[in-house]
Amino acid sequence: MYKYIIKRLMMLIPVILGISFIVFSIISLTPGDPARIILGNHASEEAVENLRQELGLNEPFIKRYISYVGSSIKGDFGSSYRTGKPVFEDIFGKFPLTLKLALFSMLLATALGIPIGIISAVKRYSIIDGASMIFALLMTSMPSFWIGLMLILIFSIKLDIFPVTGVENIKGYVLPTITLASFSMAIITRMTRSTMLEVIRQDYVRTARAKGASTKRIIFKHCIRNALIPVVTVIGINFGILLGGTVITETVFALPGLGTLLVSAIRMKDMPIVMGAVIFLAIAFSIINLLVDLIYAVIDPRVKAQYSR
Amino acid sequence: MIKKLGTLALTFVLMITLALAGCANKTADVSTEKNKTREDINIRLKTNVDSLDPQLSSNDYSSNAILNMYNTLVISDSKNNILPCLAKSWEISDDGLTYTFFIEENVKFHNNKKLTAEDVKFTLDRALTVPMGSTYAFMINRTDIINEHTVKVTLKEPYAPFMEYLVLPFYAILNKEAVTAANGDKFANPVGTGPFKFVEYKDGEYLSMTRNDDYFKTPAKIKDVKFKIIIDQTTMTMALEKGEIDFLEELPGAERERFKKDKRFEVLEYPTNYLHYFMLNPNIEPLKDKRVRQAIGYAIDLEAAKKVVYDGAGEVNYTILRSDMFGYSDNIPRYTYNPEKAKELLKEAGYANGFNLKFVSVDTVAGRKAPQVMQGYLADLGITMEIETNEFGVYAQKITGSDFVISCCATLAQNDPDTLLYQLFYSTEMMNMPKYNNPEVDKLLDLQRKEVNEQKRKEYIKQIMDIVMEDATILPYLYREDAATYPVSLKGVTPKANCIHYIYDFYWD
Repeated sequence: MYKYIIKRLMMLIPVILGISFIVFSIISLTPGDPARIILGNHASEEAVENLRQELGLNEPFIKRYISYVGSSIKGDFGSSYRTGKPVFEDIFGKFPLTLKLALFSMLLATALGIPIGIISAVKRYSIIDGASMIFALLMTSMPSFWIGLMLILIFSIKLDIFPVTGVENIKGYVLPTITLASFSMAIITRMTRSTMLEVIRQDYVRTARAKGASTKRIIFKHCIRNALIPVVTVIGINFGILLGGTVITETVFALPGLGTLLVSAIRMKDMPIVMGAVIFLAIAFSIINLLVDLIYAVIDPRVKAQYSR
Repeated sequence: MIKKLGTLALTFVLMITLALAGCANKTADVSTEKNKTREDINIRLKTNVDSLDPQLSSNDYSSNAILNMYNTLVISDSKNNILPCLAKSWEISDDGLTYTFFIEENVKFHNNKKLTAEDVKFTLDRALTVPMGSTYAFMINRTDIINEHTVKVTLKEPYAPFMEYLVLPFYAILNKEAVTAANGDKFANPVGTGPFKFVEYKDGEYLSMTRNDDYFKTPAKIKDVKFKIIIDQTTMTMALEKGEIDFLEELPGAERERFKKDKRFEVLEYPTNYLHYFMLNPNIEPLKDKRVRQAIGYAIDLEAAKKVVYDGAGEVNYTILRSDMFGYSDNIPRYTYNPEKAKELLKEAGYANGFNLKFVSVDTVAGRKAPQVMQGYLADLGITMEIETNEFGVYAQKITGSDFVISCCATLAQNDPDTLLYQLFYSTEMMNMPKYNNPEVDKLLDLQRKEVNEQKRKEYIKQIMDIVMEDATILPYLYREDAATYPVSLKGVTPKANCIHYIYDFYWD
């Protein structure tokens, strides 16, 4: 088991090298000059050239990449071109908010999605099933900025319950959490329903029924565990996406999260921040995937047996 | 069955949405009695702060916000008259070369150090060395200390709009000691003399300040100021309605009618000195022929374009200079909408069947809409225009590198036309992005700059305008009009054409 974990962690190294090279090339080779962006249209060519020199932008691309990798191995990820602050000071400043939002919304999505999915599957073609599938379809089809704006319009402006912007207290998290959770919840509901339906049709379920086990026992003891594996995968992936991709929700609610930092850094061609954030997210994503794999082992003893081999 | 259910569910969802949106009327209170006793204010800030040091900032929104922690030597009123601030008075020599400033004596920086001529000299000297210096401080030759509270600034040559420059955040007076200690750190704690003191800046969240009770004039009436960074326009208007922000300086044209009807809010529209214009590159075919450039000028109905691009807000401009600027005259040549004339000019130039060209634009609301409107008008002439919308970084690189056939830009003009005309038309100027090069215009620009006789200077400017309008490398479009929007109980808002808002003047009543 530990061997497996260590092996998985070692695999991170080539993954991160690959990702960093791809991102570094994309940022370096696409047009747009960070020095010009920082100094604006009015600054003279000379001042821009000086800043380019200072930021080391005149070096050839490969040389810059190698020196970036060299210094980041030593733990120096550079400083933001824009703020001059060390990269991880900026990233860790934004990460707690993003993490909280991702956690809250995944909790909400899971807490609602799995039960609804199970009920839909068990009571297939009933009114509940129809209603929840339509609800799920609505949630996947409505763009999150629209959901966010509607929630603000109704619950902030009209009903005056929640704030439009800011997360000074727990109330501020409610609307962004719902907005973020809507899509994942729909996916989880649909996923749970379809895998449950598959499991219900299995022979061992028929056997359980034949030997007289109660429906409750069959669902909870025999079906759910088996149905959950694909659902856990979906939850893991969605959680990873939420960690890096809540830009739209952050913009609508004016929240200073990691997504916004990353996107504005890309716009500013703020290479150190982009690299730092992408590497950070890649590590986070890989670790989440690893955790998901470990959870498989908890759910399914067969998988556990494989890991220890 | 499922289909029926679907219809039912959909109807249900819609009904709930409408019911909640329509009936519930517990709207946020923003203009009640409780506002009258408030001492705090929340202001929308459109971007992140790019520097807390005003001389290192290249973003007008950011530098205008931090200016509230500083003072400039002089300030301007809403009519752009120059008024004293840190300089209680000044003398300008007859040759227009030296400016002597007499500085207020009992001014303290936020670090309790007294303001002296030393700090003023430090600020002006440093202005020459920072990256933006070539744009804002090119006219200064040297600064000398006469005594503890008097400085003498010598210009390279007479420069009429100098005082208008001193109003800008770039010339906020810095504390020598604090800036030296910061050593180029753009986010070091700012130390100014201004009516508000720095409290905290959180990137992507807010910039907060508190009243400076040792201010050299009566302390401000507002105590706590918070600039909240809200980028999204829809969120911004909703936050205003909810009372989470109390002031925004730019309400989009499409929202103005709604807020004007809302009795809780004041919508104060005011003209700004921001000129928006199109740039035509005279060094690239087919725009090398000035008749083609003129044809494009005649082809566009600016009034109609304004309705589409800015929802009707703004003052359409045909002459680069605005009617209240020095040197303006009704005789300046101009391009008003005349498609027949445009076709004729194209025919003369040998492009009766049109041609293809590319518009290099930027990814903003106006940057997306303006080229589309132009595309339609040019299509009438048989010109096929492709639009390339870039993110800001790429756009900035392209226009500053003169890598475009046709593009758009905006700049802050002064009431004196010198800067604007110099920037747009002088052959070596950075902002002359189409790289217009006309020795005759260069000579006239130099002449008008040195000319002390107003009548003569007017004549020079008229000559310049005749030539540059004829050559049509810059097609003016409009002077932007902003709409400050705030609850009616907020008073003291006096917008300036340079878009600087002094929160010092604000109060609740």
